Amino acid sequence: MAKQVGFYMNMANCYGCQTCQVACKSEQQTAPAVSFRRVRQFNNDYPVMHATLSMGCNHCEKPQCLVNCPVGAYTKLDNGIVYQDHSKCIGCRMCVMACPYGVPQYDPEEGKTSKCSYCKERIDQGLQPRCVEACPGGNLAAGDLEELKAKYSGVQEFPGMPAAAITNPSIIINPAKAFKK
Amino acid sequence: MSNESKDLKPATNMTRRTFIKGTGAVAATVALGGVGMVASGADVAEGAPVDFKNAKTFTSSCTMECLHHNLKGYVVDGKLVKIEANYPNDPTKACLRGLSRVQWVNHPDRIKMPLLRTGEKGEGKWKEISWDEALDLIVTKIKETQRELGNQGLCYKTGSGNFGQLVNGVAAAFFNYLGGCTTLVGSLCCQVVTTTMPPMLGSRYEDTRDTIQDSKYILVWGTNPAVTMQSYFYKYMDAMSKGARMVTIDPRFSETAAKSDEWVPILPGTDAALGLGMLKIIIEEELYDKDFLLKHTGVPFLVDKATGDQIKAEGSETGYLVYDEISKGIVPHDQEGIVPALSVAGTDLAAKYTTVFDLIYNEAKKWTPEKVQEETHVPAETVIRLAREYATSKPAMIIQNMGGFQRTEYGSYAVGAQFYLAAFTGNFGKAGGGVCDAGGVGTNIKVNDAIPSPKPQGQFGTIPSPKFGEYILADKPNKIGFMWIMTTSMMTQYPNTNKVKAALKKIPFVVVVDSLMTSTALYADLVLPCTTVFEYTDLLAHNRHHYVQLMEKAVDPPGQAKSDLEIFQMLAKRLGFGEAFDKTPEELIEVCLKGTGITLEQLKKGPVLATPDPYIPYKDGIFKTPTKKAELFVPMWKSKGFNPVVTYIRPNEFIYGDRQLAAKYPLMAVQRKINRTIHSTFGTLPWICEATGSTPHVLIHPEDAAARGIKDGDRVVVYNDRGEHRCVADVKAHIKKGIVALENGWWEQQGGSSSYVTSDFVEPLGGGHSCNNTLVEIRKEA
Amino acid sequence: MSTWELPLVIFTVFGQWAIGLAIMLTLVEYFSPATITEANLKQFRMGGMAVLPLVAVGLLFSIFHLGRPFAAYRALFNLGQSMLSLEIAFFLVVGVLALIYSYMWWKTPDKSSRKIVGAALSIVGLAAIVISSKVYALPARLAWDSLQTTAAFILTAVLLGAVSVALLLGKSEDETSLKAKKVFGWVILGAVIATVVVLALFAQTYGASAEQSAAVAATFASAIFVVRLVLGILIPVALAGLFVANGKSSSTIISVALFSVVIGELSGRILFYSSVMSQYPWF
Ligand code: SF4
Ligand code: SF4
Ligand code: SF4
Repeated sequence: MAKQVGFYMNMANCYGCQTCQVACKSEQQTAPAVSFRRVRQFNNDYPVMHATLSMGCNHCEKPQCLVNCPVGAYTKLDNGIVYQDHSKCIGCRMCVMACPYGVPQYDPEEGKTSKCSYCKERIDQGLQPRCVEACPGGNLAAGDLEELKAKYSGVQEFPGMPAAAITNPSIIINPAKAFKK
Repeated sequence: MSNESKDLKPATNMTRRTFIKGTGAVAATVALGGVGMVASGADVAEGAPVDFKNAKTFTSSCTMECLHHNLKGYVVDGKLVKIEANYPNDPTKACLRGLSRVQWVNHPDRIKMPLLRTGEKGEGKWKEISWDEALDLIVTKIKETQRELGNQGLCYKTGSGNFGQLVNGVAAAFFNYLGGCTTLVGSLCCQVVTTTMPPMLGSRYEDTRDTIQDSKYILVWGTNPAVTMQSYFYKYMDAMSKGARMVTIDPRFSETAAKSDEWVPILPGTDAALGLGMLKIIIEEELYDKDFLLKHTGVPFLVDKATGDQIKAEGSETGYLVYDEISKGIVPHDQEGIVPALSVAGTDLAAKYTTVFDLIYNEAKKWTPEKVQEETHVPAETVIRLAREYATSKPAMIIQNMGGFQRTEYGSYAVGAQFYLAAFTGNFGKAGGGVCDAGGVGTNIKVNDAIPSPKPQGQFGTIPSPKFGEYILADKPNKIGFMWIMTTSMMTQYPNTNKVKAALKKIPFVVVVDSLMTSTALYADLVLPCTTVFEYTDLLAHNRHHYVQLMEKAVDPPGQAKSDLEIFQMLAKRLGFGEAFDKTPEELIEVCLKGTGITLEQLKKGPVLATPDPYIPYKDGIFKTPTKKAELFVPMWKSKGFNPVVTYIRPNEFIYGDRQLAAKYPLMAVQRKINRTIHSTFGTLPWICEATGSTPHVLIHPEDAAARGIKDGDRVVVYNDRGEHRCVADVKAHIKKGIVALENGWWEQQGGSSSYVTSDFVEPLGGGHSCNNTLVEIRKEA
Repeated sequence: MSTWELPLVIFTVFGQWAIGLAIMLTLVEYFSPATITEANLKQFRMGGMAVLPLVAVGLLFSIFHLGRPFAAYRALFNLGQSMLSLEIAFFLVVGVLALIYSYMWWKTPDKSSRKIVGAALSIVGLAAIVISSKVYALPARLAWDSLQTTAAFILTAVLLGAVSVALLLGKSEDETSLKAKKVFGWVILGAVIATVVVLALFAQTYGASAEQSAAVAATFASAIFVVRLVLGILIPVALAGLFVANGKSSSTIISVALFSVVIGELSGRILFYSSVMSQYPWF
């Protein structure tokens, strides 16, 4: 099996502080409308369902962004990163529509879409993705997906999430109490 | 800032893609309302991302009233380009706010020159003047005030915006060099912890964060550590993964409640009743730790029924007397070989004496589970269960952390009740036990003042902080002619803000020192531009972190912004204060560190741990009181005419309090801290606005909302006789019905602070702030 | 408004209109050449010439959809994988054929050889519409990823094409024209019924998933849906009724009807996009 990097996200312990989100913004210097990593809140009338999930790009095995992009801006790198060559983007938002997780983000000011690169530049320097490094709660982990799977247990989807079968995302989520089956 | 006087330059904080548009985002995210920020039309820039690899790094700290995380700043070409947590040199990690400081340093709206008011106060019309002009003006105004009103006419207020050693302390020294002045007393944050904890336990700022993970039962009481102790929160989760049970008592289903095993909603201001109700069960079911009570607390101390005071052996300050069950005599509590009686009820002594234990039990006894339920809305069964669980799962920790429960009308008693529970169950002094306060190096080492302060000359009155507006308007204790405000934003933090606003308008000359045009700076006569973190050198050694930190200067401040120290140094020179102020920051830091065993050289290499690890406050039950025991009888309360042991007094601004008021304003409002600001600090940084939103919300229960025709997302007005707060309704069952949660820290330019409606009642036992006993009504914005 | 995706709406609706018109004209030319009488020729010529500007408007708006319009050519770079690339390629061919087709109507209106071009345009155009619908066959967007999308796109072409040709025949009262009108009446009626069926099928998917339910709800709860219903569906029914009843029909009425159908289709397409896009960020 080809090498594949991935994320582990301990949703059960994430308290939604959004440090990962801002650390990413800072590292990637993204535009105001763009956050490569976002912390979603699950809220409804039942407080016990309250939970937060932090998600960047899942660097999927079958990336929908990649197959739908008309300019071929996306490539799957040797280590499994789904990488966008930003210079190629023409801002058609096909990837935005195609990604089940809403990962690619369109910046109307720039007229282009961009997304999490798994901090490719940092990985090349032997560093951790910035979001993972920044989480004060230690609720994110990055690394080789197989190794992560050996270390952590979790799921690729929980009720309410897009079907993992669509893209086979490289993510392991330890769901919050309320989302455990 | 009016267009005419403020020339906002485009941000030069370059970035890949269109980040530069961030400037516009600030303007877009704040409701302008005639004041505040003007968007600068920066161009879209496409370029390479900043190469952090070749950056120079510096360390500094996140200095406001929070956890004081150590920060690593990356500098490229003289610009701060990124901030990271300085991990693992500081084993806890900064949050989104600490990281966003890079946007504060590079904020396009930084104040760069002294600004003199040209329009009405609050109008935001200014003209830039030189520092020379500004300082001359200040000196003239000080002298004018001294001449007309005496030093009593001077006043200054420093706050929790910066805990650096060379900031607030220097202000205190400066005003004492002037001869003294009228001051504000009582912290808005945790005054009643400060007045309750030292008499009972002998010290303050004793935090148990090092051993949270060792706890078996965590009672998070009226506080929200998932937000306010965020970098330690993983320890709570650790404890839970090892089987600890966590229960959160809070009117709101907080971020912490979301992670807890149980959420116990409670009516605000009734915590002491719950505490006493739990204590009743613990005493009656004999779940208390008798051995601990006898050895380590003052509950056996005898109290003279006639005077109501504890009795002491003659000529001894600490020789409280107890009844010895062995010798059947009255002996000093610290005599060897005695077994003090907890209670003298039913003995011959009872005619004349009682014990602190008896006094406490008499108070607790009244709080049957049913009565507790009536008063607090915590179900009777829950009260019983909480008491049993807390008393029998050891070690058990109460998380107090200066939480909202104590910003209530008789908050001192609520704080005391928690100490009683911990003392009765023998949880103090144990890993995983105790009561967690904020805490830090100041508890364990003595850091000196940078500039020793002379004694004020003459008699000076004081103003209770919550009553700032009212006192100024009534010229109480005297007329104020000159006011200096720094490291705080009264217009967002002080209750009854309309009065604060009127007060600031009334004071003839108000100087505000700040780096951005804050809500308070809007009401200044003169705004002085100051530096922010990474622009000046300082020492951070306060009561929020276990590390002593050197704050390095990494970049030059924008324009002519100066550090608070420099500002006072320039004034001191003009006023002829001599040598005292005339030192470099490094020299002053050496002064501060003298005798601590920590050196500047050491600090240059990184933060230095200055607290034993793990730190266990009152280890082995040795308290820091004169008797080395927990003294649960507080003579100070008695001297103020209150019960010296914890009792429950029903708040006035409460649904069961002033019924007339409650009929008019039937909703109980509490004010919460949110992850976007520390008080009001950080509130307008673009990343913060983008990640967390830029409009104030009020959390309201769906049934309360429906009764008022309010839907989620509606614009609403929260109001009472004090004022109005405009915000957006967040309709969710994440709060107890009948209670609404306001958010703390919103700027005037973003729609204004929720403190416009909060109560300015002064907690009578300790002088605290009681914003969480506020009654309001809510209507849909027309 | 931001989720209306107007450029895409105009691109797809106008593209489909052009193709539908070409198909209808070609069908008339092949199966009922007698309809194109001396008197009618002028009308038909106008219709034929209209195909090109319709395609052109569509293509132009497709470019406005892009954040980087000047880099539009790059959209052809992922033909092997991306449906969008393929769609653009097909529409470019449609454009070229439309150019030839309209040119022939303009220069040589009485030569019947152009019907071969018309046939080619119809076939390529139909394929382009199908491909276009496949662009939205995204497994992540259940509301789009179904045959209903294909059906809806084709029905738009049929309806707009048929009403347009009806307009061309508006004033003609001769035998063959009346017969043709009757046929078109049935076609319009059929298309309308099919549209209702497609909408009903879509409504039935309520409950399939949270996202799907939200899309369905967003569609039917929208005020735009009323526009679509009245203009896009009811008016054509009335119009078709007129035809089928073989009554007298004034071209003013049909003009109004065409206008209504166009607005109806545009609003239908707005709903198509916004019911899904307004949920962004999904999940
Ligand atoms: S930084 Fe960590 S704890 Fe905070 S929101 Fe992100 S994942 Fe959750
Ligand atoms: S890996 Fe890097 S780019 Fe991706 S979300 Fe994390 S910080 Fe952002
Ligand atoms: S705001 Fe508080 S938690 Fe965040 S970095 Fe600063 S000190 Fe740390």
